[in-house]
Amino acid sequence: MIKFWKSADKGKSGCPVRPPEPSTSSNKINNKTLLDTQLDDVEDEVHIFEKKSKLCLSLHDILIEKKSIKYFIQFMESIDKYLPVKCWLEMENFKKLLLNTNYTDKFDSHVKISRTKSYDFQCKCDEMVEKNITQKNMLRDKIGNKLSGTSDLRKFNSSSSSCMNLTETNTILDSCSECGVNNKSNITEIAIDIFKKYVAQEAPFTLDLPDSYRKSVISNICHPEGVIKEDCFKPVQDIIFNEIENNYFKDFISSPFYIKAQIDILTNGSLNLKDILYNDTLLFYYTEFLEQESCRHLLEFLMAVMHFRDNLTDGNPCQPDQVQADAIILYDKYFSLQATSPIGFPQYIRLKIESDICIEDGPHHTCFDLPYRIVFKTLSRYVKTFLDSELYYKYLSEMIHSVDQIWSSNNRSQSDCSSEFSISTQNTLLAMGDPVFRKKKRNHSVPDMTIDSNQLYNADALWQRKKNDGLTLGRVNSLGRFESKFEPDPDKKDKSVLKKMVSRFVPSVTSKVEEEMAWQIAHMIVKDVTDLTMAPPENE
Amino acid sequence: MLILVTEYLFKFLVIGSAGTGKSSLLNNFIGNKFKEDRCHTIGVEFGSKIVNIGGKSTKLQIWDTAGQERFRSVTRSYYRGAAGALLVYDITSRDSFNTLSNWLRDARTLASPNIIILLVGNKKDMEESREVTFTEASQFAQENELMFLETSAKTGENVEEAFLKCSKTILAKIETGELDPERIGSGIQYGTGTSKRLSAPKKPARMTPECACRV
Repeated sequence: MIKFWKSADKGKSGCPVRPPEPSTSSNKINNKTLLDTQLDDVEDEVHIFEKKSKLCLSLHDILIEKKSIKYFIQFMESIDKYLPVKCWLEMENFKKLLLNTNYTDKFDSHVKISRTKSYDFQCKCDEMVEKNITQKNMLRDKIGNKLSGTSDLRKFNSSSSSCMNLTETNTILDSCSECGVNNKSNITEIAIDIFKKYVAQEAPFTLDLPDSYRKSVISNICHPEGVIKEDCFKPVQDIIFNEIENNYFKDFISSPFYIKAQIDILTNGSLNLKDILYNDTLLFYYTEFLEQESCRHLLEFLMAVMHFRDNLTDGNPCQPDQVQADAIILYDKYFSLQATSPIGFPQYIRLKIESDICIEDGPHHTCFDLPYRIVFKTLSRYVKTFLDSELYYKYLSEMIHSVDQIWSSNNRSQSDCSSEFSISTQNTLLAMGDPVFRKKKRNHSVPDMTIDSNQLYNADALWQRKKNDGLTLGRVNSLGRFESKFEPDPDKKDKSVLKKMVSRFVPSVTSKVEEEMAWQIAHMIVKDVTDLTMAPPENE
Repeated sequence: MLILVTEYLFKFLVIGSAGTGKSSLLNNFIGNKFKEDRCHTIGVEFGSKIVNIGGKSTKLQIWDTAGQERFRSVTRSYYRGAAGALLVYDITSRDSFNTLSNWLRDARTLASPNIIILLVGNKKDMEESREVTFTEASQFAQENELMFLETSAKTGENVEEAFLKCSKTILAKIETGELDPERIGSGIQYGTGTSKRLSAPKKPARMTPECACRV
């Protein structure tokens, strides 16, 4: 405490709680416009401090929350290790089927179904709400769901010519569809099928499970009371989960499939500040963006508060003195009137922080939560501009590029035929430092006008260019007539490609009036010329 | 009008035990005055500078991390995707030298495995209280394949050299193809130094000649 007063004493006025001083807060006013101190939409505080980026997928996210699962399945297929995933998913589906069946008595079960069948399952929930629906029908629906779910997986199967046995999948599906009558025996049958397929000693798809697991599954299925619990396969599921996590997941993370999954997330427009903060690669770009917007100190502040908080909540033994010292450092840097990197908080926040720092037994971990939320919200606003920025575009194209690169290096044939030579589509050196220029590339209505330096120095590339790249001045139509691009068909409504291009480079002040004037002047000139040339000679 | 064109942007880390002068090094590098009584860093402080290496202007995005042990778990999360790092110890503190291998292991495992690390023995100006000899440190550097320099953030001796030497090595590795700037997580971006506002007016000038040879 004394320390704080001392440090506050260093200030000009010598009084820690200062009256408003309009003159000293001049640099704060500059920054003030940045901050959005109106926290009207009170965001969930827990969420703000949760350290989770959508871009960093864990196996849990993928298998249990079914995020980007298709890429994971594709990856596992590519390394011929689809079996464990398939087994795990079938067991999971079984669990859900069982869970749903247990709810059949209640008519509100459709909610549960639609929630648990969260991926791509076509739930006919609305139909299910009907009161007269019989238990039988519901079960049939669910089996239908299961069918469509597994046939989804089959699609992946067939996409790669891996050794998956399709007929095998069919048999189990048939077995579920046949028996929609007796709910219990049906479920037992499915369970036994799964067991036979994966767990049993002579199973066609052996997973090399220890005997103890096999036994525990048997005892789970053959329950004396005849009731199968939904987690009867849990021991097997757990072991598979761990095996996948330990043996394959790391490879998945460094595979192009993972990058593809990330690209999906990056392009679906749901990115928020947290996703950026807790993804190092994207944070690298965002930091650069914030520097260009000159508000990098806001990010610094967020990180510092996060450190401060973590240090207190991680359960480290903390000396109140030390905590206070940390808090004072943050205060001196961001809040004080002499702050080295002032953020521009209003006075009431500064006063609140001052009193929060000075409480007995040191400040709490929530000491900076209010300013944190304000800055968080402000930076969240920058996320929107960031997502439209050149840097973000560059990040995305780099992601796509690295997928292509890994892909092509994997699939490169042995021949060194020149057509393998790839022409970089992102000529970063030419376009460098001219973001606006690069942005134009996205406008597909006008052909790309960039010149690739590779093309200039590689004569071979000239012959490999695509034909429809806007080099032509016209074309020969089906009747053998040449159609110029300068004077396109008058019936056509849209401008010719060439006109579009020209209009891009000619300053476009094409107001109707001016065009009219131009026409009139042109008319006059033509008239003058014809008057001169066509007029009969006067003196003959 | 000032037009900044950079060819590369590197993510750079400054790591090492508390009190070895990491923030002072950064501050000296980016042109701030040396402060005798600096308080410890909480979180990360950023600095950036455009340097010219062999005719290529390169921007360094420098992450000056907290050295205190209690912040270690958090600072480690920022290592990923760094292209280069200065690993700092204090020549007047044996302890700071002894913990180097821990820092090094963290950097090699958490940042990219190709990260270029330069060992920095700071506080060279305090020769009278030296505890770690130059030979000893350079031997450590050799054993662990690090570059090595002794610096003084106070006098500014070797500070710029440290950053430049590290950047030079990164650039050399890019040129030999050992490092791929386009690999995600390499900690290297292609030229972005120009902000949108700076480069916008250039547009018409450079587009006209290019279209002329195309149409």
